[in-house]
Amino acid sequence: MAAMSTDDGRTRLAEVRRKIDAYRAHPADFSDGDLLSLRRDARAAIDRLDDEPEFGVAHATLDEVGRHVRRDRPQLCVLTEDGDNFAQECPVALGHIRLGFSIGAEIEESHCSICERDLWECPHIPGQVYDGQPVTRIITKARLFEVSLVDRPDFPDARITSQSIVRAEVEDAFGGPLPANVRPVCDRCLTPCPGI
Amino acid sequence: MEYRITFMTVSSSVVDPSAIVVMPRLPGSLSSPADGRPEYPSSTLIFVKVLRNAGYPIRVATPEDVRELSHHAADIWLPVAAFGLQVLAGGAGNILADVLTRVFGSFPRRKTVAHIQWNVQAPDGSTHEFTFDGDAETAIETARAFERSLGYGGDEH
Repeated sequence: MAAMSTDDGRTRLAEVRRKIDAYRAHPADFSDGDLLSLRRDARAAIDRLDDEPEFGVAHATLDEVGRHVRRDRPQLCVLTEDGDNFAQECPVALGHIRLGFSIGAEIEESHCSICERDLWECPHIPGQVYDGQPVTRIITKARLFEVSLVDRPDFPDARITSQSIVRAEVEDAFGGPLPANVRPVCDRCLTPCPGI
Repeated sequence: MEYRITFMTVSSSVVDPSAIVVMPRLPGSLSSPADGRPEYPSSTLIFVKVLRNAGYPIRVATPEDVRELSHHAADIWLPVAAFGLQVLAGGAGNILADVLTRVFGSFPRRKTVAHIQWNVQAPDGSTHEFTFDGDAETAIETARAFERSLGYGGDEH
């Protein structure tokens, strides 16, 4: 539920900050998988904190995680091969694109999360709490009629997860065709953040 | 946060004076399948249940066919509604603000941008349009000012 998303964002941000401190103290304790998770978590935090006072901290934290990973484990910043081209799939880079997806759908069947009856007929109101349980509308059947890019998606994780980079751009930067044993590494986090 | 507001006088009254009626229209620029059937934003369910629970006389214009269209952006698109003068009378100019406060309370905190398009009947029976797009907190104050500008909450109320 989105109401929880803001609080969830704060919790995630605090957890990422705690892990950054732990990483600084004992970097060898963190596996590559741990750092990949940290990158994803830092993005998940900022994606839940749009318009919140913590957004600036979440942004700085995202950049900080990116710097640590790029400086210490550059193999985690290799661009993904995508057919003849490449793809940027890094949560740090993509987290700076403040857009997400919004669906338009006709709700055909739904019910109450508390009593499982039709919400038009039951006494519970979505968004309110009964005996400690928040009421949500569970949609079991819907007809999708559009998808839009919006700056504040209702589902905070409905974001861009891959961005194509044409091979020619990468080869221009390299200065010629890439040899088979050369992998392009994203340097974005080695330079000051250009902003959101 | 910036916001946009319009106060417009509507020439003919289509408002039920004794009720809040939710109209089968989508507010603003919300997209729809455009197949001619009555359509309501998905906020209609919360809007109706919250206000009914609070004792407001509210109904949906086409109760036999409430087709809800959901648009998952983090904005509150309230249903298009018509407020009759008997609903507003005696409310000291605070009814619209009270409605918004109650309804916003049921939406997630991330949803801070509100879109409102209501027809509101003045004490003399004329109908005026209240359109608002912007911050939800500002919407409450603006709605109060609008209602009082119609004459509610004055000396006669």
